[in-house]
Amino acid sequence: MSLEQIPVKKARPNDYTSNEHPVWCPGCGHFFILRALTKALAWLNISKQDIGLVSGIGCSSRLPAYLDVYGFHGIHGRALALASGLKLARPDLTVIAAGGDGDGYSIGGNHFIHACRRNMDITYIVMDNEVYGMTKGQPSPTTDPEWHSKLAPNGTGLSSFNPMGIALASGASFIARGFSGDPNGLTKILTEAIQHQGFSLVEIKSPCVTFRPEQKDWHKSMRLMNVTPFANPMEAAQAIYGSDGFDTGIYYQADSPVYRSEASSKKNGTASEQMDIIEKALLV
Amino acid sequence: MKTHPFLKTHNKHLAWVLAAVNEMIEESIYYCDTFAHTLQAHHNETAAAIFSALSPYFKSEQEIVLAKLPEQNLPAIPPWEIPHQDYEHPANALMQAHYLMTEHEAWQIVTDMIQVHHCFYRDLIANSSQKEVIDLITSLQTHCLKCEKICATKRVPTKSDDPQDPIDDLDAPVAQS
Repeated sequence: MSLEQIPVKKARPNDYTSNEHPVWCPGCGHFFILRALTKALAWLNISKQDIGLVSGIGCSSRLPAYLDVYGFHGIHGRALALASGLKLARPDLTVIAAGGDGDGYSIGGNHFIHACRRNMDITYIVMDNEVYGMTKGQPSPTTDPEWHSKLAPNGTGLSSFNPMGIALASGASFIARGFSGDPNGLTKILTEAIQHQGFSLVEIKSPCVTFRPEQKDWHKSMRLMNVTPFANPMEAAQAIYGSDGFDTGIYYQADSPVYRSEASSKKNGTASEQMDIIEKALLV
Repeated sequence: MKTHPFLKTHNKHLAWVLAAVNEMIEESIYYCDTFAHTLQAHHNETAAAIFSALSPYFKSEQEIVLAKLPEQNLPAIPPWEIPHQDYEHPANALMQAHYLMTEHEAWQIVTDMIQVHHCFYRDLIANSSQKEVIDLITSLQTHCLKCEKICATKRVPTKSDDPQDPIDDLDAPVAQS
């Protein structure tokens, strides 16, 4: 179904917010991602009972608490492992995993690669502020090698991880970059990502105003929704590696085989039969 | 005041205007309430009080719109086409927020949010020939002007705005290059 054909919406963004108020630092980009996500869910009119939101550890991983959907605040780096299990057990759910750059690309790096490879129908939202904010500002995999801080006085000297390039090489079928300061563009990307059949990586530049105050100026550098999606991985790779990191939009969207469990075709089996299927599937 | 020449608002009908304006005000209310809470959680009671105080103003602005809703069957405008496409979203002002912000900075941010509303209304009026749209927007503009005046009188730099007298921060973030 194209975006234009989506029926008249009934839900409102506020319907998806929980009674917990976010306590991120004022000005943090995560506020705007949370709002964009609720707007996307409302536009798609997905029932709250049909959404499973899983996270790891970090500032961004507080997200499940702020949404009135099924949520699981997991352990560090394991959001995608949990999300994969959830999708296998409940293929009918819209499964969203969320976390930060440290959680997803460092501690959860291996899960990230293999989640891309499986291409399960999961939307992975990474709120990338290029720092570990919750633990007071250590460099993360996406931190610039020259960035100096109290905890890395000489910088890391390590070249930055390229999550979109890794995702493409590993088999993800939807890859996009958004900016938290572009509420409209981000809502569109998230809407498309949730609708996409397969693994969707939405890498979102989200300023950490406390430990990376210079990121407040990102809004001056970001180029909003200037990328055209490619279905050819070679062209997408060129676009990903040709970008300085400030271009936003969908880089890659392909119709690739989606990994599904047998449970999805045997929904009426006994709980024990379904668990057998899931356990078998998880050995892959 | 900023101008937004690419605004896609030319001659929109009343239902579209109501839907778009309602979306924009709802965003401002949401963010005012959310930021009031988080500022309080970060022990900046002064700035939190300003966001709390502004929220009812946005709510009363929304009342003007809601009063017209029963008469209209609102179109579903995709959230990415709400008329912030080519200009600022009310949330953009909040990207300048920080947990140690002064009273003056907080007033500046809420003023910027009101200005986003004001800009949109001004462009709607300039691009509309329908009397019912003009009447609605005129009343919304009047409301905005009242809010702006309040903010302007409050937005007087105070002692704590003096850079020589910053609020104590036990773990001050250091700007990196």
